[in-house]
Amino acid sequence: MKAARKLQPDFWLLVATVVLVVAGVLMVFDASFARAADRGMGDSWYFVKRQIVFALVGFLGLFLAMRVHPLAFRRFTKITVFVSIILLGLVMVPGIGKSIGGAARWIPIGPFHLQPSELAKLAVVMYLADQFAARGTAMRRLGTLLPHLLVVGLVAMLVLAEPDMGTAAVVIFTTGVMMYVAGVRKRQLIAFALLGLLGGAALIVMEPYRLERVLTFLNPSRDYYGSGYQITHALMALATGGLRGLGLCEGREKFYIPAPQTDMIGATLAEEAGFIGMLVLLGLFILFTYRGLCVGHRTKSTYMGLLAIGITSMVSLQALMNIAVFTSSMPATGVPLPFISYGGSCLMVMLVGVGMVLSVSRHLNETVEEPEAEKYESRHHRRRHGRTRISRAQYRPTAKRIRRRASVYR
Amino acid sequence: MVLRHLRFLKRRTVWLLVTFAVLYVLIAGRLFYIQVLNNERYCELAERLRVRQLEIPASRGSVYDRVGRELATNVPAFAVYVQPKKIKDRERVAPQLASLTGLEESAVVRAINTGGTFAYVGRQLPVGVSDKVQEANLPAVGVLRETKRVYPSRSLCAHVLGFTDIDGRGLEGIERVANKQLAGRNGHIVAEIDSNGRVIPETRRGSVQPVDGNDVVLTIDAYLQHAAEDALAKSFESHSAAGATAVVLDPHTGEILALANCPTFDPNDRRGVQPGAWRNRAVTDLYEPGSTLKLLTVAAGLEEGIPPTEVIATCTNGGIPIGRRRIRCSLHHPYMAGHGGVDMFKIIRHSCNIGAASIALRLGPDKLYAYEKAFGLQDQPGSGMPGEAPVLPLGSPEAWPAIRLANIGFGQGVAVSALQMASAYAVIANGGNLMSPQIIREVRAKDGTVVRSFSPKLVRRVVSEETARKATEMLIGCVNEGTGKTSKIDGYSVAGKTGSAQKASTTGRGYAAGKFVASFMGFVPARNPRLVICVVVDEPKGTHWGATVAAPVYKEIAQKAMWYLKVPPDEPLKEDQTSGSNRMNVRKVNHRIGAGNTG
Repeated sequence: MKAARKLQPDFWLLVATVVLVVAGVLMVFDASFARAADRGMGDSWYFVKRQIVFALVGFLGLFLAMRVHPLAFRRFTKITVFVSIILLGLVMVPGIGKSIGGAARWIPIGPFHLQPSELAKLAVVMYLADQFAARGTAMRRLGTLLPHLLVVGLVAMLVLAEPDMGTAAVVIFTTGVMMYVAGVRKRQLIAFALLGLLGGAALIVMEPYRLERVLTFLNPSRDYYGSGYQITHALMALATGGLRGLGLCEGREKFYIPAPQTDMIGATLAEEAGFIGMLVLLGLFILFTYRGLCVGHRTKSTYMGLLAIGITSMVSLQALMNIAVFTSSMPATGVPLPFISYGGSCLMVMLVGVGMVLSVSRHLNETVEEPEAEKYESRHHRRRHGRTRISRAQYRPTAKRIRRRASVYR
Repeated sequence: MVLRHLRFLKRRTVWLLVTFAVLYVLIAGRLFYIQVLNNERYCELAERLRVRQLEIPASRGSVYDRVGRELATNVPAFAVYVQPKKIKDRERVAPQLASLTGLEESAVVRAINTGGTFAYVGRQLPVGVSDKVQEANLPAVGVLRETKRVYPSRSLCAHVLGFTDIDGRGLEGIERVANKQLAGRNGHIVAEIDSNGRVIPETRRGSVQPVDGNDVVLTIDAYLQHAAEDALAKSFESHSAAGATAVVLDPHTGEILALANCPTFDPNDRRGVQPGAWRNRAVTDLYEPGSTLKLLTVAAGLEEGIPPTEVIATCTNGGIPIGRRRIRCSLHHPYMAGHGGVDMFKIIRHSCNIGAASIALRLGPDKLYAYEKAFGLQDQPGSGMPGEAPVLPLGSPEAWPAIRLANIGFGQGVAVSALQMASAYAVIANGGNLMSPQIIREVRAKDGTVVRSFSPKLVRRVVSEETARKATEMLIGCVNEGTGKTSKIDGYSVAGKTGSAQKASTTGRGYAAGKFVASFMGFVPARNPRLVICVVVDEPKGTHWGATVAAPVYKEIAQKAMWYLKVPPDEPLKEDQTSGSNRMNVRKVNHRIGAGNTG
């Protein structure tokens, strides 16, 4: 590791984040104010107050993470993954986990409900960044790749068991993106994608309510009073909003959409700010994604690069999924809109994640040795020559293989 | 090695950025499509779901008696509802709600188990209950304001008033026929509502104020009504009758001053009431009038010039043959061998069937039919009360056999309602005019201005004043010396006629053994009538004579009415014969009106 001059954190990434979070607090106020009082809380400001506290704590986390060297996070990778898995397990223990609406996703700690799946998302990104960087181009071999996918698979299964298909999908998509960026062969990626599709289809067919959601997606007015209710009202919110929107606080559909301050908050925004407002929102996320990926692109360390790209992609994917759901572009699944939706765990984890990306942006000119990667590469050679192996035709360096290998190392 | 991996990463990151950019553009396109290009359909749908016309119920009008006593009005009430879908803890909520509202737990459970978004637990609950429910602040339980129709005098006048359903729509009686007047017009607001049906603040688009219902003033006098119900109920109960009716009319205007039926009910709480008890028997039930109809036959005879003192027939205990049949009189002491030679006075006094039949035979079917019709027995009375029985036609008089003509003469083979009979007697009482019976006096707006007023309606002149006067004398004779002695009132001249008709068999042929309709009707004071009173008791047990079953009711109503109406006595008082309480009443009247010297 070479000592290098620290840079300024990425300005535009921070700006995009701050604007999104502030807009989020406003939207949480807007969406929840009218009805928070009669949701048993007795306080119209209930959600706003909490969201402000979450945002402040989140920004504290962001600035701390920004000050710390990215490699410091790396040391906590294994423990983070371990804690995530334990917490995900605890969610299912009756008496510890709390279920709302048939899904056990929360662990109540005082007035706060911890959502372990949010932490797990970040843990998976940290884990994959660590492992993929450590293994280097050895990731292109299935044997090296598979054990890591099993770890991700375990996390995804635990999230899925809550059940929380949306978060599980975010975990899997983010894994896919990191595999791609880390250099996994396209052929294998396609195979995994097909496998994932099959698995997803199986999950949908297995659970009647998921099938219902898919059918509703295909025809939102099919079951207005049941599974189509939310999406129909989201579409009505979008339509009513039109080009310019009704104006702040003028939205109507927030009186229909259940818990409008959470996953469907975008619908209220679309209704009140119109298509123009949605373009601004999309612009902010595009700015965020662009700056995040730039940080990853400019880094001189595979770990830092993968970490930045992983976190940015995770946020961006989640934003895309959320908007896709309330525009009825994909079957309904509950993921919060990053930085905007009400929810402490999500907001705080996201902000800490952004802090990590910003931390990476401060150490762009540092190179990081990956001694393990060399070892894995050489182990490949050792195994080839040190052990008795049955010769296999596929390992013969054919012309095609030589060409591909050359392309890899080009 | 790391460097190579890094290069790899960088190249693919560029592609990743491109992919993200494409996805964002797609999503933006999708938003543009939904929000701008193709937003009409969902805009319309949203409008349809959100914008509602919310009713503002109009206040239903009250019903008053002729002097302004409240007979039906509204009080604020509350409905308790649940939102079953939102209830998570059914086992806890149900018993709690049951104890708060005082309703049965099974009813609460039933409401919760409907599983919808809204179900009433209880309606028209008093204010105290709603306060308790609101204080308890149970989840998914709410309270709505509504009004409850109440009848402060309970069963008083129940058959005339009728009742409403729980939403205030008139179902029976005046509530039903005057529903349009009473109901008023509901107002509404147009506003946007949320998913719980509440108005979203500041979305009101327009409103129409409700127009409250008008008040209805009846011709009924609550005091006379009470007197009539009281007296009738005594006879109804002591004779275990199947039913009973009393009608009190003002003979000069046709206004119904009291209309009582037994059995009765409390319109405030109709649970467990036999639907038969709702029936306004005075207009819905037809019966055979029997001897009371003889008055009409005699009046027809007088009008057609038969001298009242001419001996019309000779009544013997063998009766007289008509065709292959024979008609008889029901004979009492001291006329066990028949009434002998009878003139019209005697026919009425002693209720001689043979005499009445003879007059009928002398008049012939066409004339008798014409008079029955003129007295209103072949028309619905048109009182304005619902459920008036359709007329049972007498058929074409040319086709009447002699026996039918004779029977109609003394009141058999004719079906009438008590109200029809009362109107017919009012003709004699008022000097020969048939007045249309009337129940609604006027309709007033809430501010007291008269919207519509109903004046007395003359249907036709039926007999001359002279005929009426003579017929009245005959009725006085019946009360003073004949079958109607039990209705004599000290200090007043009373006109009346008894009736004790056998009931027609339900099989359609002949008469039912042992089943009678006892009746008494007439007017007081006889020479300056203020009231026509008609009492009909259906199937009394033990005794079936109009004189014993119906006449005491008549007497009690008349006595109380005379006192209440401050009618000066027109006959000398026989103090020693009157009972204590009655004497008191009469004295009081005398004292009040300073009419002691009339006695």
